[in-house]
Amino acid sequence: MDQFQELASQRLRKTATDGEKMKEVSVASANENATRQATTGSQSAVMESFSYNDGIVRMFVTATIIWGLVGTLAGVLVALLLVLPNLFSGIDPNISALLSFGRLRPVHTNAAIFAFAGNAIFAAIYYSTQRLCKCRMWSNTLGLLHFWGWQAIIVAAAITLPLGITQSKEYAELEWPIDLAIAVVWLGFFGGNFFMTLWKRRERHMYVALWFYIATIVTVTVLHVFNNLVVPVGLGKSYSVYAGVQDALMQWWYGHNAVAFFLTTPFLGLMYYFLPKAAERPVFSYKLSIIHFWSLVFLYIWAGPHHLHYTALPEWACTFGMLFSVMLWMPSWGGMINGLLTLRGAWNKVTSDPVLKFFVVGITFYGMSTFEGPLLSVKSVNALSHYTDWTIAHVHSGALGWNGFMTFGMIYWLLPRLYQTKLWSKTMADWHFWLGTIGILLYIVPIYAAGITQGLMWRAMDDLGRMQYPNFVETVQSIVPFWWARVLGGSLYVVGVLMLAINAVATWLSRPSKYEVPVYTAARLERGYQDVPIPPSKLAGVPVLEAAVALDRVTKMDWHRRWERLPLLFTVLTTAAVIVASLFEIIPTFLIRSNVPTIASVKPYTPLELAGRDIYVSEGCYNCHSQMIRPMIAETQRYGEYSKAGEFVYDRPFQWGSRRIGPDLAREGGRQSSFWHWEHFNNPAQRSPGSVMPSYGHLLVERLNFNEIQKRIHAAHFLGAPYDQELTDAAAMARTQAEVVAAEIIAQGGTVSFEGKLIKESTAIALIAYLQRMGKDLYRVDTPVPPPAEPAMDKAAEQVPSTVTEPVPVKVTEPAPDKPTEPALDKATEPTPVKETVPAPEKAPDATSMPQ
Amino acid sequence: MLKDVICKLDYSNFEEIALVIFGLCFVAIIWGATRLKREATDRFSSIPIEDSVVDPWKGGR
Repeated sequence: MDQFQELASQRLRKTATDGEKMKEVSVASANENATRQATTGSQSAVMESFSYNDGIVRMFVTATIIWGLVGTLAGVLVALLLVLPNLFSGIDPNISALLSFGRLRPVHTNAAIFAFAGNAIFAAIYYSTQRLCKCRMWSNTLGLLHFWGWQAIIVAAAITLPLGITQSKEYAELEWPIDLAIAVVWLGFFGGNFFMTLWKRRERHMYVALWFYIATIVTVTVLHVFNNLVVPVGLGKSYSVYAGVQDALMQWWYGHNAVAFFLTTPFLGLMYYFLPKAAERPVFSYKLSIIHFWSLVFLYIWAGPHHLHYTALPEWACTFGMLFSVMLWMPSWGGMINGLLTLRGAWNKVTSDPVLKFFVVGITFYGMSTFEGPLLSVKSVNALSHYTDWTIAHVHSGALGWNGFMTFGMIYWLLPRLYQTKLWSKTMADWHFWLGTIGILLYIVPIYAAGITQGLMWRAMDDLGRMQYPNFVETVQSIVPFWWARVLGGSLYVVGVLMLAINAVATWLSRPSKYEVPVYTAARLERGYQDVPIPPSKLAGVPVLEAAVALDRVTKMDWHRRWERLPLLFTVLTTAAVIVASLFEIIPTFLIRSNVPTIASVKPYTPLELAGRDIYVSEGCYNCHSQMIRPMIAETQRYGEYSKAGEFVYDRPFQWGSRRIGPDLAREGGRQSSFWHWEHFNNPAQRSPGSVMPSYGHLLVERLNFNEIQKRIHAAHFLGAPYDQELTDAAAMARTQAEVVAAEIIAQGGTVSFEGKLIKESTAIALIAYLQRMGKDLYRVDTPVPPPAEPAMDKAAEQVPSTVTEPVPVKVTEPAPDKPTEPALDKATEPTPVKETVPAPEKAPDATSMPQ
Repeated sequence: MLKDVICKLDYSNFEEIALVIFGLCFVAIIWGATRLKREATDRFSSIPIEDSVVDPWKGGR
């Protein structure tokens, strides 16, 4: 059987093409002819010459470095904005609006994830896939379209996000036109090129790194498409087809798996290829890599709900997410151990080779983050950590340590090979390593401390069972010193990236005038390849059931070995694993009505409130404020009655948030006067001394486009909101309610106009209308509207009265189509403790009474 | 037809079914991985550090 022979023909053929010097220096491939004779009887082998497309790899590496600098600098900037919230207060309010924390944080996360890490994985995949397939990328054109298309998407993100054009879903903020472009570039250009390369490969066996790439491409496509299903309202605005609880589940199914399949699986593929190359020894255990791969694919996809512990998401889903998250610890550490043990016998190289240093620390951070992830998914731990900076520290140990260092290691390994010269400065690479490592530690250690401090202060009670720190600002101020340490750590990390950029440019400058292009030779894969026949069953002829004989034969099939040479089957199996797992989680949440118990008093937003909500989304308020009160005494004391699933049925997108730099706003309605909010937008620190919220003075002077509200009402109606009069009179109703809110502000001490503009026309009025509505529907009592006192105000009260302190319903003629019409809670559904625990409505406080 | 099927499904058991599916797949994968011969895994794991092409069935089972 062993007729496998090495061809090993060394030939040199010089061909000039595209300004590059073609040089055939390859060790020719193994002789498939011999194998073919053994398996199919064919006699001829078609030998083919090919070269690799390294030009596209150079482009992606360059983009990785540039976006790495941009992303980390943006990170330092948003970190600075938390300690210096008035950093841009002296400049034009319209410009400072573009530079607020709420708008810049998504720029930082998108730049770090999709620009920096994205380009890094493309560089890794384009380089390693060609070598692992013994095949040039299928299409140069698709490669270029992919590269420039992806850069255009990043630039579009960098423009639209500061402008407030956002879907407000974390890591999926980009609006639908850009989402469409992502789908085309990712699946059409990148996926098409990758799978065609796989199809045309000359290496029969698919190495483990390729499995991870397949899982990445398939799963990210599925996640991206289903999480971004929206109804467009305009080019820069859309409403999610999911609402409330279901939107939250979809978002965190996406969000968690974006981490899994964009920041983990492709980097594991990178590890499985580049680590053996750099260490010059094979991966420690191939068997472990098989278990690592399938376990990750099976487990990761279920784990999303652990981001929603103690929220209005059904508890079964949260427990499910927790269980699978804890199980994830095993394969993750299997992968880490496999990576580190690949260095067995080569640890002496680690001391001198910066590439291996980066890889070792990167893999160690992978192990640390993937230990911490399951820990944070445990409900009791999550109760403390959620909404605090602990999550931020966890994320950055993974992003800076795992993704960043694996990328840097890969780039330092690639630079001499891509530019066919020596690395300009190994010393500088070493400095980068140490500055980066110290920078990460200086970042994460204080932020861990900050997170735990926050969590403990929020839940601290005195001997009488009262909150020990009722003023939220006090809990923020206690962690400001930690935030300063983060700025320092982040800055060191940026300096390291800058050193990489300098090293790369200097290496590039010392490149040869023309790159040599090695030409390789390998046999084309034969279509009629047959596996070695399955040996007969030992049970044949033995008096046992035929099923036992069949089972015995199946066990001898070595089916995984077969899958590893069948890309189509492998892709189908991976896709099936991802989709089946997703459906098991998503279908019950969507189809079991008891998962979202309906509350009859919850009504759609009025036109002005809807416009205000869109401003809330646009300003990125969710980056600092949650809208989800968890059923814990510390939260219900601070914020009010815990949130119910049925309260969010008209929330598209949901705004539960994931972090509390400011207090929760789920029951903000009526807690402060409208004038308080007006003043607070203008100067937050004046109303809440010590607040780190920047001024939103631009909202006070910006004019609200009332005419645009109509189409938003139509979109919301299309998605199920039971509007009636609003469908034709949205603008007029919004104007009338704006007059009511403005009248309140004036009555409470405000002025008719601000900087020469009537306050009733400002965007702030719409946002205040929305804030005053938040969380009040739970207490809504449908009572007759009192007779009018004055004609002008009366008309307003009849149409849109929801901003007054006693909530009165908007005119609604029928309930949401998919919701029943029971008077209070849907009693046909599973019991929830809403009725027993709903407290009496709170009285509206005066303008300055409530701590924020 | 599809609606009838979906309506008749008992979603409340999905968590348990999912765990069973995962368990079966996990056991099958581990079992399949452990059956690979060392000779084969050694060759597959050396793919990134070799220029030559590897035949999946070299050396038989």
